[in-house]
Amino acid sequence: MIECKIDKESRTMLCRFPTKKMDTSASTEADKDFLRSFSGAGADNIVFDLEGVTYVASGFLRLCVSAAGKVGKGKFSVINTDPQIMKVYKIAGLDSVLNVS
Amino acid sequence: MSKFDEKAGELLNNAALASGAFEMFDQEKTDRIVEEVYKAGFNARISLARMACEETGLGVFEHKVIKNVLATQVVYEDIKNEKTAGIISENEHTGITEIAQPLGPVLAVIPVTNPTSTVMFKILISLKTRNPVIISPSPRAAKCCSEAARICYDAALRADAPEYSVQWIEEPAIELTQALMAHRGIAMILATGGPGLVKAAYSSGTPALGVGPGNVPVFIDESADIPYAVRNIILSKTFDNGTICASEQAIVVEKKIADRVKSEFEKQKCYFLSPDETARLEKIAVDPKTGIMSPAIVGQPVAVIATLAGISVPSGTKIIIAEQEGVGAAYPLSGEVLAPVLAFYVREDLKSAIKTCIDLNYLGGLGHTASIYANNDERIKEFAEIINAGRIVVNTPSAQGAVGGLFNDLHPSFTLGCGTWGKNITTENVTAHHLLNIKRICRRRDNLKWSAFPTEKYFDGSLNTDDLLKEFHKNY
Repeated sequence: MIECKIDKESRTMLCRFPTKKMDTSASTEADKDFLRSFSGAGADNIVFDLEGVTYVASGFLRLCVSAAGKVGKGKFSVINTDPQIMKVYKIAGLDSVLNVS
Repeated sequence: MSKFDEKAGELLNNAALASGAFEMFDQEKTDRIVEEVYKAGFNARISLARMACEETGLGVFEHKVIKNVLATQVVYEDIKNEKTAGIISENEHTGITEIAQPLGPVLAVIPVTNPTSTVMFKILISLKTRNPVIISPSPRAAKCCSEAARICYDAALRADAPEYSVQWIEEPAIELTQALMAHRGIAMILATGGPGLVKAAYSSGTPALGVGPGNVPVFIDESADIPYAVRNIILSKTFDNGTICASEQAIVVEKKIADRVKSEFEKQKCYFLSPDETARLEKIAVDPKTGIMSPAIVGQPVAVIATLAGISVPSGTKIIIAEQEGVGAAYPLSGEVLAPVLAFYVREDLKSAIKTCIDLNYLGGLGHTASIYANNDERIKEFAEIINAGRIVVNTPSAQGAVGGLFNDLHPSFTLGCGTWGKNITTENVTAHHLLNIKRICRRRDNLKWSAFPTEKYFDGSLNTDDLLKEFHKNY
């Protein structure tokens, strides 16, 4: 569902999503796993790498907003989005607040 | 009451008289007027183009002539056979008869960039739909617009059009335009101009057909015929010195074809700016406070722009091109510039290139126009799916392609709807059929399924959706 690694030097948590379709159920699972990984990891920055992700449900957007809230403005990024996924963030008005690329 | 309110009232009283008289006109009489007006406008295409160039100092004389031709000949050909008066359709099967009614007085707001052509276009579509029209020109184009309106009105009167069916404001003032927009006698505003004007129209409380701003991304796919693509982009971007809002703003290519595209632009007499030259151009092209293009360069030829920027470009340069890294406020040339200036983006791969097109689209051109050069229909569809534009023009000069009638079957128009993305109510090219109230006679044709279905079953809470639908769709 979600694989998170912490880079201790930069205190950055990089999360990948082997489940390419982040529907409601996958997002709920990812949310739980993320909280577990984040807790006590000491991350100041979070990066969600969406390489290969072809679908995101509203639950996934919620997860992004929630994760961004944990580290504060400018310290959360979504990278490697597919064009279609990037458009979802734009339509939702999240592209600028979440540093989507 | 201010003098502007008084003037608005006078214009609207006159327009109301014309509206009343128009009620009596049938299709034949209406079409006679439209034909006479089109011919008069067409005959004046050259003198009006000259006036527009001299008065506004924008654009290219020959291209203004072509715009006038498009606004008269091409628009007329498009609308001449359309039914716009009385019964326009009857369907025995459905029992529905459609009857076209005029809207009432139309306020036509005219931009400085396409003045006489937009005047004639709006007069033709208004008269075709039996709506009196009041022309409110940009103050920078008041004389040529007044002359275009006068020529059309004289022709309309010769064909027995109602008095005051065409009126115009010889001394435009923002206050008068605002008073007209808010006047209860105006039925519709046709607002072509900048975002501020369009917002004013939509905020006035009067129904409005407006346009959004453009920021046209052009994606050149690896499957494209590159020399052909470059030739067409130049044809479009140099047309009237880039004053059409559907003209190309930024070229986006993948790295693997970037060198070929660049050398083709250079071969076809376009000039790539150095970073230092780009910085100089940015200073004079875009107002740093507002992020909006500077009026000083709108519709100007390359030589004038280069002089203003203090840049030396080879003689005969058709377009100046600035390579850009990003999109947004930090990159002033990533926004709309209605002049022969292009931004140029090189991206690592297809995904990044398309994402840049989305960024450009969202920066200020949502709903307007996008362009793609490709010989791969799947790629074209993929691009069109993802870009929010009312018109996605394919292998076509985007300025001439988006306005319609020349390179495709879009309705020829000088008012390009941008949908709700651009705060408009349509994504279509606005034309005569948008200026009608359609009444519908709805004869009784019973829905047989509804008649046969025992409707009391809707009150039986023990039946679920499937049970009810099975019963509803039962073949008796």
